[in-house]
Order: sequence, then structure tokens, then C-alpha cells
Amino acid sequence: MLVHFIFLDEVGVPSLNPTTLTTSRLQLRWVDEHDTAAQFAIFSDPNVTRYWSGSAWTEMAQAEQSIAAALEDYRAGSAVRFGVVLAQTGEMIGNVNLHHFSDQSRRCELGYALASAYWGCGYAREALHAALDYGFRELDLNRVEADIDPRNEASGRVLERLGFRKEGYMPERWIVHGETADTVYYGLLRKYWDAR
Amino acid sequence: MPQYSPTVLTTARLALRWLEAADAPAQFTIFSDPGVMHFIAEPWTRMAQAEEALNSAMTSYRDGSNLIFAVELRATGELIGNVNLHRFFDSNRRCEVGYALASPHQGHGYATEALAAVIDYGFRELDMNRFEADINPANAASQRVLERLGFRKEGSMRERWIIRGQKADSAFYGLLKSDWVARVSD
Repeated sequence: MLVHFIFLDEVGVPSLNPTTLTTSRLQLRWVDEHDTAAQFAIFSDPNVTRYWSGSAWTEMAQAEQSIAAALEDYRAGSAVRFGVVLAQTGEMIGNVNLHHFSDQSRRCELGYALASAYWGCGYAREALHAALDYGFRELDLNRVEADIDPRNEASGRVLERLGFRKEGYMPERWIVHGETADTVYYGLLRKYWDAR
Repeated sequence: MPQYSPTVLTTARLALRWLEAADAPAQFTIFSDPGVMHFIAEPWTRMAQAEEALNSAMTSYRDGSNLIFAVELRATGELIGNVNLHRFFDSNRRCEVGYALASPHQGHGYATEALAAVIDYGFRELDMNRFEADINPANAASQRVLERLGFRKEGSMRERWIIRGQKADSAFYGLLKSDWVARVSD
């Protein structure tokens, strides 16, 4: 850190237990191998991956690898992936991720994706609200960060409505298929959350 | 992770090289100094901490996660600080830069000189496109060093760090290869 954290990278390892979060319309739960096809359906859609750090999936093996990575992250405590499920039908419509935990500084990053058929219904906000509440209350986080593509205005609006504040603009922070992309950086502090 | 091989960088007044086990006492002198550690962490109190840090440095040379350069005064061979590249994100060709300089040697432009050499190495040899630095906004000296090197301030984050129970904000800086090349060719 601090231009100076020369030796000790404080990568956190919280210990994680299977968790289900329930909202009025959604359930957020850990993913497993049975979700492979549902994850593929979401991430093979170029609309979903447009501002993602990779391109749309083309093979089921990519979904299998992604699920395996999520399982390993649960085990290692390095990230929590919640599958977002419609309470009424059980259909998996997206993901919310808490990752890059820094234990000492009690912070992590937030990521999310929603199947394009379900955009514009407030599901992202509803799911993120539940995941953030879990992060602040159960994982005792002090701060959650999000790094989004400035062209992704819908995501910016969702974050701002949840209380995130814009904290920075970083040019050329990402390179996807040889194209550079900028970042808008958002932060949400526990004290903003508690004051809502 | 990229593979790195031991590298020596030379500037007008400094030589930068990889750390070795024999550097433990010199590293201890630097990182046990509260003046150096003010914005970083608890100062070291035991030589064993220096030994552990060197072990971890050797591991990170091998796995490519943290490339630490010891900064030596060419005139005397004295080890006066470190510059490191870490948090590599290969596909985005970026990493973070960090540094620390022994108190008696602060204020002579050594940090700027050492960082310039490592950044130049990073852009040329490691094919980086972007360097980032995250400093305490109260660390005015660090801020001046970064700005002298052409870093731009890109963000201000609240309570990004908790050090010794104290919350600290971040001033976030970035340097693009295009800016560096334009500056060097001026």
C-alpha cells in the first residue's frame, strides 16, 4: 500500500460459511456445479459481458472453470460469489461478487452481472443491497469499492442509488482485446450505509 | 505471472539490484525507523522481521508477485531504500509501485531518481502500460515525488486503509506509458 507496503501485502482471508440471503423477490446463494448451465446462459450473452473484463463465453467449459474457481474462492476465503435467483421460479438471473478482501483494512471489491432479460426491473439494486448489508454486518467490512466502465451508465446509477460515491477516474486501467478502457472508481463506507 | 531475472539498474548516483539474504541488517535499519514507517505500518522491532521479509521477497521474485529493488548509493555501496513493483495485473499491463527511503537520505532526490529508473525499466522491459500508486494524502513528500515523475492524481478514497486501528484515506495516482514517453522525448 501506501506506496510503501513493501513486503506485506495484506490480502485477507475471512472464513466463509455457506450463506443464503433473502429479499422480497430474490434469493442470493452460493453457486455450485448444478449452476453451470445457468451461468453459461448469463455470461455467453455479449450484452452482459460488454463492460466485463473478458469477452462473452462461447464454451460450457468456461462456465465449469468459473464455477470451480468460485468453489475454490469459498474454500480459500478469497471471494464470495452469490448466485442471484428469482424467489418465485428458482431461475438464476445473475451474480453478485465480493472479492479482493483486505482483512486489516476491512474492505473488499464488489462486482455484479445480471441476465439482460432482467434489466430495468430493480433486481441489481435489490441484490446488491442484500449483499452489501451482509458485507457490512456479517463480514464487518468498513468499505466496499467498485470499479466500473464509465460507459456503463446503468451501473453507475445503481451504485449511486445505493450510496456509493464517485472517488476517482483512472484512464486505461483495463485492456480488453487490445482496447484500453477507463475506470470510474466508487466507494461506499459503512458509515454512509448506516446513515441511510 | 511473468518470470523475472535478476536485474541491475544504474543511475547517476544509484545502483538498484535485487535483495539478498545478507541485506537483513540494512533492511532492518530502514524499516525499524519510525520516520520511515510513519505512513506504512508498525516499525520493525526484531531482526527476525527483516529475515522473514527477505524470505518473502525471495518467494515473490520466484512467483513474480513483487519485484523489489534495493537502492544503493554508488559512492559508498550503502543500501538506503527499496523500490518495488507489485500487484501485477498482466492482462491489463499494469502494476503498483512502492518505495521507502531511509530518513537520513530523504530530501536529496534519491526517491525520484530510483523510481524513474524502475518505471523506465517497467515500461521498456516489462511492457507495462500503466503504473499506480496509492499514498496517504498527508504524505506530501511522496506526493511531490510522484508528481515530479509525471503521475496524475486520479482519485481520493475515504478510509481505504486501517493502520494500527486508524482509518486513513488514499490519494490515488496513475502514470500512463503515453505520458511517460511524451515526457522523456521532450
